[in-house]
Amino acid sequence: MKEEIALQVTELSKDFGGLKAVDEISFFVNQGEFVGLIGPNGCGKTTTFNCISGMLTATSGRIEVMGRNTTGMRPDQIQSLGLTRTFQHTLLWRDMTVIENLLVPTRNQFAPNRVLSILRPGSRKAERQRVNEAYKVLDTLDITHVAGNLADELSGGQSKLVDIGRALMSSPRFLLLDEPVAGVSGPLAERIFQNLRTLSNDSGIGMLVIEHNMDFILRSDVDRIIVMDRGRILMEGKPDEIRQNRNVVEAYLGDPEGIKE
Amino acid sequence: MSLNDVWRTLTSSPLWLRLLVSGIFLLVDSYLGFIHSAGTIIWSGILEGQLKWLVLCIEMMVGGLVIVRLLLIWAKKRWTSLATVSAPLCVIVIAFFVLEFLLRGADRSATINFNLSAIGFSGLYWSAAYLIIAIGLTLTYKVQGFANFAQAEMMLVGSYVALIFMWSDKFFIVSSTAADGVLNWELLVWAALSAFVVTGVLGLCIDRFVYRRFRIKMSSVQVMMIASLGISMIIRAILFMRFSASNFRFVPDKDWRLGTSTFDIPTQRLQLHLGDRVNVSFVELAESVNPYGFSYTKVVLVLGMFATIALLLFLLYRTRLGRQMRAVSDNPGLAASSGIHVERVHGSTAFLSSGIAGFGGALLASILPVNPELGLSLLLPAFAVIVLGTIGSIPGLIIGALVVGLLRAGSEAVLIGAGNALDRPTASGFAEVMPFLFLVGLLLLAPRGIGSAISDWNLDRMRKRRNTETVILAEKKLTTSNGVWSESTQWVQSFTTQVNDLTATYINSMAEIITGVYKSIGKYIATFFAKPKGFFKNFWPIMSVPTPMIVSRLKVDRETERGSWIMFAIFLLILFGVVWLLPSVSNLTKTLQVARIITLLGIFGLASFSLNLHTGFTGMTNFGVIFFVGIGAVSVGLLAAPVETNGYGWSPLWATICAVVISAVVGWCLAYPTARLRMDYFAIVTISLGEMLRISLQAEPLLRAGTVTSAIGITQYSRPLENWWEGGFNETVGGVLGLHVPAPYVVLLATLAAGLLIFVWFILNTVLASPWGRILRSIRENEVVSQHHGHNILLHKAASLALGAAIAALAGALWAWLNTNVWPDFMNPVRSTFLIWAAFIVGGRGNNKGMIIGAFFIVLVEFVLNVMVASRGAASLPLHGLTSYFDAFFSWLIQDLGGLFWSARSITEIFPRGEIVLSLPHFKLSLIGFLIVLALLKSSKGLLPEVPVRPEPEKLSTENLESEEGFK
Repeated sequence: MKEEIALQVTELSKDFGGLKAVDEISFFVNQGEFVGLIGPNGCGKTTTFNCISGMLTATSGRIEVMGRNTTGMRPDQIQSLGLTRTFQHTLLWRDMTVIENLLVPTRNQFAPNRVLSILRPGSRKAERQRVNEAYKVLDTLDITHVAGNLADELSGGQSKLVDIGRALMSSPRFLLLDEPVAGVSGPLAERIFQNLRTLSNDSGIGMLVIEHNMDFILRSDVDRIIVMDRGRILMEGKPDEIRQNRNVVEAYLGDPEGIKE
Repeated sequence: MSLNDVWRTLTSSPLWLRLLVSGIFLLVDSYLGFIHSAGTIIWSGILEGQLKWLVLCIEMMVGGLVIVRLLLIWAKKRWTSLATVSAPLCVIVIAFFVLEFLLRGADRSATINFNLSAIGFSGLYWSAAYLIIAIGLTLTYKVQGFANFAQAEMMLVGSYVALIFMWSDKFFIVSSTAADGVLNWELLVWAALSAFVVTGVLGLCIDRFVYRRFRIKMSSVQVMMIASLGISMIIRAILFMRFSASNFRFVPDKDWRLGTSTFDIPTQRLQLHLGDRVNVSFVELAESVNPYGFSYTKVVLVLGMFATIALLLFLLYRTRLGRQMRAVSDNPGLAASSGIHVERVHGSTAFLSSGIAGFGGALLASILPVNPELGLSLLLPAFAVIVLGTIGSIPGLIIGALVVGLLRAGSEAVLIGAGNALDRPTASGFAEVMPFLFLVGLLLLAPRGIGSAISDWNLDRMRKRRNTETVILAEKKLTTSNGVWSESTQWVQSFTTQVNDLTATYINSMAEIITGVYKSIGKYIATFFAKPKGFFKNFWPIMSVPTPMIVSRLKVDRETERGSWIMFAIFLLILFGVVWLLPSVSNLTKTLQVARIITLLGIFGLASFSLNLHTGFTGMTNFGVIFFVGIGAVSVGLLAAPVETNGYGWSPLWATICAVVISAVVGWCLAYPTARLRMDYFAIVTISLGEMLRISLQAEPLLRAGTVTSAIGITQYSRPLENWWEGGFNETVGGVLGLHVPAPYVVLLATLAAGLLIFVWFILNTVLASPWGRILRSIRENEVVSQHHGHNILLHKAASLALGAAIAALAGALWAWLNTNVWPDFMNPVRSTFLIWAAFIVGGRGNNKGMIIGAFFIVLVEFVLNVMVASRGAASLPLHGLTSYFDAFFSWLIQDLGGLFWSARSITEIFPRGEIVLSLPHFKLSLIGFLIVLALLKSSKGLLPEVPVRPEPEKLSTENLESEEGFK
């Protein structure tokens, strides 16, 4: 299973006016692989994500998700291939309850029949299953107690968790996680990473995770790390290799003190 | 390859290919239709006569727009800005092509006379007139971030200040001055300047007392926009009450209005020959006859407004206040933390924006006759101007104003020429809608407006300059350090700093004066209210309405399903109680009254449902509810009107079904061009659509039925079950109700309305409880995220628009049946859309029960005021005391209190018979406006807030598990 390529990016570029935000980068992520994407501020990580998820149109280059070229596809079409992303600034649907937030992304909302499912309230078996599944996901993230709260009322860390839960609810085959644990307390953040790791091992979901905290990602159990700088891929390799090349990285990140935080 | 395959390859092909194919298809098909009477539309054979031409025109127009859009997409990066700026031109060219083919197809020919100077100069005048409102709109947009609908009323306040100056007889006496040939500037200057100050202070006060509270509450832009709608309703209603609906003109001196007070500008006539040309060329430059007279008043307005813009540019980019404004517009929090007094900046913005509107209003009053409706008719083109020039951009504003003004002036000639050729002598009435029509066409092409293209271009240039700068900089230093250059720059710099200091001191001293006035007034008010406070505290619980007491005792949480229902029942009971208590003469009149109330409740309730679906659930700020209601009413009327009077003679049932379908299709189609628009652009497009339909109803012969050709509107259409009802059943019902006469038709209509309301309510609740409702609400909260979670937002928005439009069409059908005629007047947004919005705000966003309560409330206010109007007749009538008290108070306000500010003459002009009577319908409007603002301030969620959905997990019992396993 691991041999199958889930995401293949080939010579992707993105210009904003005169600024080259992403400059001909190429990488791939296999299914069931857990890959970290790091780099200093403004190096084009989020722009890369935006291009992959279809929010931005790439200036040039080719993106393949599950073996299909996604050029010109809308974000929802790309998502239907099995690629789900989260956002850096958590964007929950604020005036909806947490449990509803989890229910919106589920697949086959209108199964079995489009018209009937809209016109028959409450009694559907499929809907009950979806709700149960959502509660299961909340359980694994340990936030069942806020299920009935409005998303607006959550703390920053909790909304991060809901965001991850929401991504999991769409039964993804590939996840793009944009700083999933920023603002989450240390031990919990490690546990989340552990859970994500297990999930990707068990169910073969490929994951590409942007993480700002260098130390954190080096300590955690990722398969590979891609380091970006100024729109290019600086280096790519196992955490050990990155650690050995730490000097190079520090040079690019500037302040070695800043990394430890 | 089957048709299905073709379809699949087409839908999966890239966007440009789809655009190209559909554009070329539309163009070729419509061309065939026009010239060779072939193509799909002719072959289908459904449409005949004028409708056929209309559809062909639309087809060709859409085809042309698609092709232009394609060119914009294809345009290379560096040409995009140019292409966007020239897009307006493309729209006009396409329109001409459509006209040409239409005339050729119909074997007609049209001559369009362009009086060149006249179009140029009156275009300039129209752009100045639009700028009056547009400048203030841009300023509030830039700094405060919302579309201020009250800007139009600020202009009117300025106009009326000028009128009051004229009536004060201080400068000259209107009746007795002679035309002595000497222009007297005194009154004009004084009136304009004081209009600036008075409206400015008014704007400042409104900002302090209303908008500041919203800013403190961190309300959304949408909330502030709707609040400004409420404020505009209040001001307009007050102006109506004070100055009545009649037209007045500001005459600064008799000489200003003489026929000779004009600049005579030599002109030439350009003739365009369209359609079947025999021995004439397309363009012809004819000798002109008379020079165009550009009146002095218009010159003053044009100079005044463009000078204002120049000053504004200077203020924004060269002074400290301007820098502060731009800082606040960028990031208020950051501006505050870097030492800018944000509230003061907001205050000066409010002062300036409304002051400029007032200043322009005073100048405009000397050209156009002023009445309180004038504001709205200029507001929408002003929106077109700022949207065209990208909201907040001042260069864009100037270009937008010039384009829209020229278009307005030029379209009149085209409409007259083409209208005469196509048997539509009244077509020039459409000149008023041309700006919106153009705006809608343009937004399809460049969803961000022209100004963004300009700023993109500027950015590009700056970037290029920065790249080359490093090289040039060194040379520059050497060559220019001793030259004339540095001297002049030094001079400019010292000049600007001086002006900076001056303006800073002036503005500061003005701010000090204003705050001083505030403080003293505030102190006075504080001491005034200090004593009664205790009184109110002790007696408030007794004086207050019983509902809050019940609420507090039962501790009903309105945000739960049960609490919401309980509150709904309580409110409904109270409202029905009021209906019960409404006085009436006899049993029959009571029946009529109740039936009318219920029918109106049905109409307003359905319209609010539609608005709630669009705005409350899907998050699309729809200011065009009346557009869909109007489509319903017009279609029902037209289709059911007898054939001999231009109708189609359908039965009411089929007409209604067809109206609902038409409206739904229009709603669906509207989604595609508008779904990507920003919230405020969408609002402006929808409100423009409503106005377009209203004016089409005035000017378009196709939308007339039921009477002789000359009359306006639709009448004489058949209503549902009317024959059955008249055929005896009405007597039965009359007997049951104890009326002693046959029951009137409105009783049947009330039953129908109530049935429809409940049916739609049930359907909506079902649909919105399904996953679809959930998806719609997620789109409302954040559509980008919804799209990234796999939902095709375009499709869902289109479906929501279509469903809401269908519901609104039902409301329109009811409206048509209740009034037995469809006049263009009923579509006036002040009397329709804004009331529905009030119901929506008061009732509670996202809660259909709230919609019913809100609609009921709005309808009842009208009836209570009707009773009050009637009570003026005799002392014995109910509410007579209250009404006469109101009248006495109003008279005191105008005569005794207002007399301190204005002359007796200004009162007798309005109330010629000496009795000062409060206009209750407008009092109602001001009350509703007040209600909107108050509801938004107190609880933006309304009376019955949205109930969050909390599905519970299923308790998995062992039985359940077993059965599930067994199922596997």
